[in-house]
Amino acid sequence: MMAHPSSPLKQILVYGSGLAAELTTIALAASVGQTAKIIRVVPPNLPQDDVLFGGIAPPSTYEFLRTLGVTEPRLLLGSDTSFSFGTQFENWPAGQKSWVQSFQQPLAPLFGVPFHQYLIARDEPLAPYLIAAQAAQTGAFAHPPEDRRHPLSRAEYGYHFDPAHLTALLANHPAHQVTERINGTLRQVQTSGETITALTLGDGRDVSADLYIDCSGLDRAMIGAVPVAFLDEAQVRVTATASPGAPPPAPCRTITARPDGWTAVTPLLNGAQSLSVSLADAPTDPSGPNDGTALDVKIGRLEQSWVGNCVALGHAATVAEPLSPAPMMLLERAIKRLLELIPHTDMMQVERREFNRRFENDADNAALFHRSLFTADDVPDQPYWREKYTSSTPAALDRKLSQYASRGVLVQYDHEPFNPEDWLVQHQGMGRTAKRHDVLVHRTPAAEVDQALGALRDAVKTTVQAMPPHPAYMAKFRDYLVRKHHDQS
Amino acid sequence: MTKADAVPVKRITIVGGGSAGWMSAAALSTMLPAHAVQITLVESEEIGTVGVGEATIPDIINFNAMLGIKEADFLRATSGTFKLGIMFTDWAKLGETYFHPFGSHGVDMQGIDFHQFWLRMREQGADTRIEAYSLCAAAAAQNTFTLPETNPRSVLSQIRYAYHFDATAYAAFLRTFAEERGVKRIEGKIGEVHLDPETGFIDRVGLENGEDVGGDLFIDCSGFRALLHEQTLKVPFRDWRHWLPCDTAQAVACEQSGPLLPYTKSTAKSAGWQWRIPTQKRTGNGHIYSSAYMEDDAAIQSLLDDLDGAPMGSPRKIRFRTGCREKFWEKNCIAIGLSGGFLEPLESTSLFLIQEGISKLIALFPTATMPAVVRDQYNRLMTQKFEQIRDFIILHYKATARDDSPFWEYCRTMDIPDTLHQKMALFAESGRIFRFEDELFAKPNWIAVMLGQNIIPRTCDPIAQAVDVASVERSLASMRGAISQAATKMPSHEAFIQKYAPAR
Repeated sequence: MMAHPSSPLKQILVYGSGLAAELTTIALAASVGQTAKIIRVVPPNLPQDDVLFGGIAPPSTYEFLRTLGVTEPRLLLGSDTSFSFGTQFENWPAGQKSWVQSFQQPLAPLFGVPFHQYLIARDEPLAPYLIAAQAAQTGAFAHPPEDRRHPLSRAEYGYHFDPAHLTALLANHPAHQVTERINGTLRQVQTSGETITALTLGDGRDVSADLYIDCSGLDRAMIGAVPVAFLDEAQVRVTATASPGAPPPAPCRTITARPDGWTAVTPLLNGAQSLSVSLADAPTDPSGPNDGTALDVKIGRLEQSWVGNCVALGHAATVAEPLSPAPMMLLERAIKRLLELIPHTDMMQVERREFNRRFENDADNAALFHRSLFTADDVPDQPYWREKYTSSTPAALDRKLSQYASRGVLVQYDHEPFNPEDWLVQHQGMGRTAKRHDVLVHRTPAAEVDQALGALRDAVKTTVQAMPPHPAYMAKFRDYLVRKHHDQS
Repeated sequence: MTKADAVPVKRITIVGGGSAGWMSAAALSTMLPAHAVQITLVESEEIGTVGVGEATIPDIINFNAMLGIKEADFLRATSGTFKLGIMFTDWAKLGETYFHPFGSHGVDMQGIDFHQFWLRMREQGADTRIEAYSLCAAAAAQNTFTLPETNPRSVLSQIRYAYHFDATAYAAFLRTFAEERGVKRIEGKIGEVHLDPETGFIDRVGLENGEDVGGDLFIDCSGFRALLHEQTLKVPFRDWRHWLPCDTAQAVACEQSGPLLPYTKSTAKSAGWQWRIPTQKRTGNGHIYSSAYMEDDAAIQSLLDDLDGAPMGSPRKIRFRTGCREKFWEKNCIAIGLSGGFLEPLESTSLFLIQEGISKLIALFPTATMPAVVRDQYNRLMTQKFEQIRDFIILHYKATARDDSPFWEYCRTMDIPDTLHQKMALFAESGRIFRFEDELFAKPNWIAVMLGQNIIPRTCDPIAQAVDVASVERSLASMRGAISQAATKMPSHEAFIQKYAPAR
């Protein structure tokens, strides 16, 4: 093969001060820190836009952080993170419709047929079979055991976190020792066409690298200097308020629909975070939290998140309403994708193209899940809710909804952050029904199916009854971790 | 839901026997409640099937398992042998051979794909072929075989396999199976197909003896003739000849000679390629070529010159079009098998595509109105499957250094689908492979063929660069040793078959 006239990739520069910047720097230092120099330029203030993570992390975060050397004990003892079985949607989008959008492992087929097909055939709800949803509603938590025969092993959990606390914890990660840290503001991005050639800092210094990673959030401090469009869907106002000393934390977040938007309450170990979302130009709701930080943000994504030699990660690339763990999911997936595609020279068009292909898939598929939450007949006739209908339903979502409505088929696309169970829980929660079901459900005698379903429901019920309340479990578990840590040191 | 929407399908009529027809009949009669659906299959003994020695991929094991067929019974009935992969000769360049095994090469370490470590060692001057890290390839090289172990710690758990068998015998085996489950077989040639004037649905097929066979759902398994799909419903065909120019095959069986090989052989020729598929009683051979670049006589001569044993009859000519239907499901008719599309059997995907057609039909089983939303999903999924396999097959033709004939000159320089182009470019850069949506061929398949076809990445992944060379070398040596030892200890393929499932 012909050699390219290219130079090896020697320096990678990460710009930003929030969660995305910390995670990206650690990940790069741990994987390519020996072959490339990692430079971190840190602006003075923590970004306000990290509230857009919504304080919720998906189940994948456990493994993601572990591979970065941040174990669960470190996470729990070093921040006020608590466990999460998902999000309780209240009155969504209107009326009395409520459900727990729980995390769940794949539902095992029953007699060789997708499990939910039996429920469709019998017009039965899914929730009694979802152990995470049932536990969340009773406020109970325990770690899922490894024994696959145990009903709780089907549950999955994520975390509730305060981004500022988590950022502070990550800032002390030993991986930072192999990076060159520069504290400073960014005065100018020097470019040549699509390529960034150097950054000029506030003190007049120029810093350059082969690859620039923009983790500056909504500022888009570097990617904003190269030619790329931001495809925005809507503009909303996000107001965050902290409530220290709130009641004992529940193992799920709550999102309540309001006529002018929605409010999320994320329970943390020592308090709660409230987040209120409304239209950017809407008058302030006196019943909502109004003493916090208000941000007007454009929801959407960059047309491409890798342009020239600059890659945007986190909110610099995609901005989603934090209705789900999508913001954290997308960040994790983007960091993993970057590691998989780190170029080895400054000729990076092949990697860039693949990165952008998967970025678009990720961002657009996550957006479908959110858009779907606004696709119902009983959506309030109010400006915030109407705003979601300014464009027609995307064809990809239309396919998902029509296939489910036809016979409960769960359509999946390439690189979907949300799995079929997530969609199924949402369909059921939103009250969507299927006209028909899989004919194969009738292969098994009804009595056998009754028995199998009954046994599953009972197992979930009995297990949940035996689980401790989340605050008690947290306290004991933390106590155990402290003692263990003490014994080892 | 209107009343009409809820009318169930009560009569399924399959037009044509052969592998596609009887696989459909066997699967549907197993999966659908017998009291609710009557399945009828119409075939004529006067019309031959394409059935040649058939090579498969591991998914066939799932199909047989779904039907509850015991492996040994199946092998005995179909003169079946085991298959560990495909040996490709003269594809990348004349005189070169590589093996595409089932399963993976080596073991991934520290979250990094194994082949990245192999590339790393290659950069350091190591010249061990990647096949040395595949148990299937190692066993194939020694003509040994054993079934995989379930203990994941055992190296034998890495074995993946499929079968070679006599496709005509398989159809006969499935016929007995399906008839035992209530499938009604009607002997007869189809004369006229009657459509419902209002809906355009197929109402019934008329046999030449005057009998009419009706149905709510028809499955067209009439092979290349596509009696219902093309001749009646006029569903257009998407022609992929510009990417896969072969359009003719000559097939002949020959007597067994030499050891019983546990793999398929595929040897590139000047205007196509030849297959060799060992079954217990004979070896299936075929020469697939482009009629634009080779005359039939030359193709037959080339085939006969390369036989391992005496031919059992004269070569049979099969003409085909590579491509697939714009819609696999039109009105109340589904095309399964050759009537739906054809991709040359370079990677043994013919029966898999039949399997997919059937399993998706079962998963999307319609009501009698054949809702558009159901047909639409079926067509989307099947089209995607065909296109993905198509790309993988094109790779074998495109990634070649051969310039010794006008045919290879064309293939080497032809335009290819953009999706494939991007995959090749990514791999050439640093050995990276990303699987697309629900793709049949996984990372290890792409790696085996890309490397085999001499797409050697410029360098390994920068993350693998950071791992200590000495420890990589130790791990690779240990894997190699364990694989070689395990392959040597297995019984010969022939001895295993004789003990496990000798043909009747």
